[in-house]
Amino acid sequence: MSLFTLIAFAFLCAALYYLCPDRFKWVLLLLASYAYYASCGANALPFILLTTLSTWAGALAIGRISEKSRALLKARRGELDAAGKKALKAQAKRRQRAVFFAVLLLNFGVLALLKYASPLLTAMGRPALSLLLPLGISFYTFQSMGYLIDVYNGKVAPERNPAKFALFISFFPQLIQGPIARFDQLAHQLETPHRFDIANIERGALLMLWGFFKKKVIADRALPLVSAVFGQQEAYGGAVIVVAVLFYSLQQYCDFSGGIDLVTGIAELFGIRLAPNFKRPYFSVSLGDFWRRWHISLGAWMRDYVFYPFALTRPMTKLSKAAKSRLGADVARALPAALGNILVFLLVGVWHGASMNYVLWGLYNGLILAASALLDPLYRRANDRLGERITASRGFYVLRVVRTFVIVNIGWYFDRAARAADAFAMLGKTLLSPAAAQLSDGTLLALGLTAGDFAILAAATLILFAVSVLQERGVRIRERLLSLPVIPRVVLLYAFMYFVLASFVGAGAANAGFMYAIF
Amino acid sequence: MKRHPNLRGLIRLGLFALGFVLLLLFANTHLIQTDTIARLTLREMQAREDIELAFVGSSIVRDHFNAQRITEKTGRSAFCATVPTASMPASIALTRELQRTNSPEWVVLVTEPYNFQTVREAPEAQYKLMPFLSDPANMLDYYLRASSEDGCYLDRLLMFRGFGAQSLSDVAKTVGLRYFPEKTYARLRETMDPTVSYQGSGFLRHETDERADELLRTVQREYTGYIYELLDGSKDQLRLYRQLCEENGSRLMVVIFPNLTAHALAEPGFLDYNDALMAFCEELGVPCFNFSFARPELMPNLDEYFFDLYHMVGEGADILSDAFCRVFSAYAAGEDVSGLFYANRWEYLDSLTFTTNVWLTVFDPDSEWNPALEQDEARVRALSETQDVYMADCNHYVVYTPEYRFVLKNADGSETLLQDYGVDTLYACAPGALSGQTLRVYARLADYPENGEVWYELTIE
Repeated sequence: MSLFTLIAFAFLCAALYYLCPDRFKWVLLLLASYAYYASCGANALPFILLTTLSTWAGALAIGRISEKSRALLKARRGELDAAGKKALKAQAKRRQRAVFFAVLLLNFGVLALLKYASPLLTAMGRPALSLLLPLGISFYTFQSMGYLIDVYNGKVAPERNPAKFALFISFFPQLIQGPIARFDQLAHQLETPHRFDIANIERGALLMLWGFFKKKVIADRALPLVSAVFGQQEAYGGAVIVVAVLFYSLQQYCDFSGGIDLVTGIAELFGIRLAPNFKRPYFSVSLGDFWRRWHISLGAWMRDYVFYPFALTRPMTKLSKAAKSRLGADVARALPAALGNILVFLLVGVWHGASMNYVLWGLYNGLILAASALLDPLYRRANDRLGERITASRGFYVLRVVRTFVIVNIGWYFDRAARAADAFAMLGKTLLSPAAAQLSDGTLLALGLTAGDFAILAAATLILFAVSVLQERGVRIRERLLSLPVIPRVVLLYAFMYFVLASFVGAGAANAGFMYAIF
Repeated sequence: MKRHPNLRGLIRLGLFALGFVLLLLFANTHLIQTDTIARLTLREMQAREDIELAFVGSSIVRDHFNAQRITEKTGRSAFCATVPTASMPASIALTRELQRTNSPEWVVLVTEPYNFQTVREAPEAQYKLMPFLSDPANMLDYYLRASSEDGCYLDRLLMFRGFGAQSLSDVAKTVGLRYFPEKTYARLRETMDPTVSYQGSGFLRHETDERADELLRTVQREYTGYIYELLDGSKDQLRLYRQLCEENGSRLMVVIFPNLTAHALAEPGFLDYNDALMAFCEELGVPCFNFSFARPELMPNLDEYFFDLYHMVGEGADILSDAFCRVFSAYAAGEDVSGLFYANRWEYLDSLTFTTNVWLTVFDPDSEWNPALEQDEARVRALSETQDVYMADCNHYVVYTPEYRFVLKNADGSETLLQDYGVDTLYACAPGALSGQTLRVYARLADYPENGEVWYELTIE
């Protein structure tokens, strides 16, 4: 389904949703979600059904084991001593754990098989398998496994209605590329019948327009240059490569966050609020800050289901204690977090793809975060010496933002290059052979973009930057815009809509789908 | 109202959307470029009520049917209803516009393989025509018809994107041509190409000394990407077109434009298309005349009048117009005109006792496709092991044998003979012997040397 069809589909569904009797509203959402997913490829349906049913049944089984255990304890309250109660609880936990790991293994196993089997076989010199990679499989697998872990940990009660659970997994706006929702945040919103509220429509439509602008005006327009340079890096010097990396920063951010704005806006048409997934990451003052602002839902998922469980394990606690006497209290405290960051980013890297460049990209981020955690006391002392007058100044803030931007962009070399060797070669050229003349000898205009494209990109990036600065200062753009007097509001909106319609990359050009849909 | 904030909101949203639609309409009509001649043609057509013989089609009609000359010779008031690159959807829209104020006795649909494929109507035709159509229903029908062929609904809806004004002078031109077309044309005329002039009645006359000699060499035997079969969609639209004419009391005639001979010789399927169209017209009961097949007594070969691959200068247009008048008048009078045309492609091809163009290729043993493969491949490969090999080829009917002469063109313009006329298509020499020099090849038909020769030259790197 193209972006335009998705938008039309969303408005049609919203109209039907508000015309539908309250008790069937969630059913309509479920039908719409499955219709949407089927339209993206009906052969992917069995996979999402497998995940949905296995997770629903597994969570229900975990819940029932708990209930039965509690009921048994209650029924035999007088008969059992403390040891007996403990044994009964342990037995229930063992059974829950068995179910939990079976479902976890099944779903992550399917994901791993579909995502990594072919690349691994190819790397081993064997013929690749022609396996289907269902759209959005990572996102719905992460979402359903998050739910399973929450049920296992007793954080949420299992959903008894498989259809309602299926809606939680498949809600169409966020199915393809997230955000990865939590059951306790989304499920009740999906189930609750929302009444028509024009404010939701206006706010949702505005956010959709903004997402469309980011995706179709900026990301898709920048794409040809990025593809051209990364596709044939040996033909370009470091200066052009830097331009391509900067364009990739812009393209990737606008593609992903634009897509998220679009789906968040679509959800708002139905009165449903999705969790934010981006918070102007290029204004981050450190790499840790960046990853708290970029793909927030995945970061939170990794934090809650990988980082903390890992950092709080007994071996990590023991390691921390052992390190205290040799390396000092500060390092000992930071050590589990440092190792946890390396693990998390290694996993995120592998999640991006089964190739060495992604592994290196993950390690790069993990190691920098680990070093930051371990060296944090040093930074603090250095900042103290500089004094608050400097560290609280705007110049120092800008310096930290620029430093973080550079660190992130070095990582993008590995994220975007086809192979690790290409990334190293491009980094080498950036540092050693810039060939700056290529910036002015017409090379840039032979990369799939015309002078007009560059002008549109510059104007659009300027708009994006201005809006981001205002948001960073706490201005709520949508609210501010909608509360303007009629004439300036209409003029502003018309001007922006006209700009978007006049400059979006349409059919016939590089009509790219969402980058993250393939994950 | 205050009790219904949602209703108020919906009305507000509706008004906002309506305002934006009006803004887009404004952009689509005022913030775009305008084809001056297409606008003048449409304006004149909308103002006239006396058109009796209407020619409909693309620039091949606009540039080649001298309406005033045809009016004089046929006694029927003629007009060329055209828009450049028009295909059937544009022809239908144009004819509907024509029928608003006119009921021509005859409608002549002029076509060629390049513009009769419904899938091939360029968006530019729509951009040039649609803003100036006066009937919204016709506009909508045209938009849907054109979009359904290529699926570009959005691009065709937002025409200010692909056809937007590039400067303020573009906007001024569009506004001027919309509201004061004659005055604006008079002003623009001074800055326009002096070799082109709008003669009225939809006819545009070209007077240039340029000819398509150089361009003609690009018409070689290779796959062009065009599909020459008569598509089902084309047939449906032709049926609809016939119905459109009948409903307005007009008689329909189809004319196949005489393209450059080289197209017929070089492009596979080109003649198949003409045959298919003629057969389909016969099936529909619509008279169809293929002016490519015109016998010399009706019209000479017009190749020499083409200034580009598809358009002729005014003199060629006059000859074609005269030939058309002769056929039309005779046909309208009930006479048999079949004797003025070759009966079929074989008769036509037999008449082509000349070559249209020749070209040279350097043999590259590593190239996947090579014109040499159409020749003696084994010999070419063997020669190329020790020598540089240059291969000549030309457009000619296969029953006739071409012969070639290779010469070296000297700096002072004189020629040094390398290989005199003979059927050998190859010229081989020591590696690098011709570096930096210009090799010229002449071609003619062995049995018809008196019918002239054509040449091509290649500067060797």
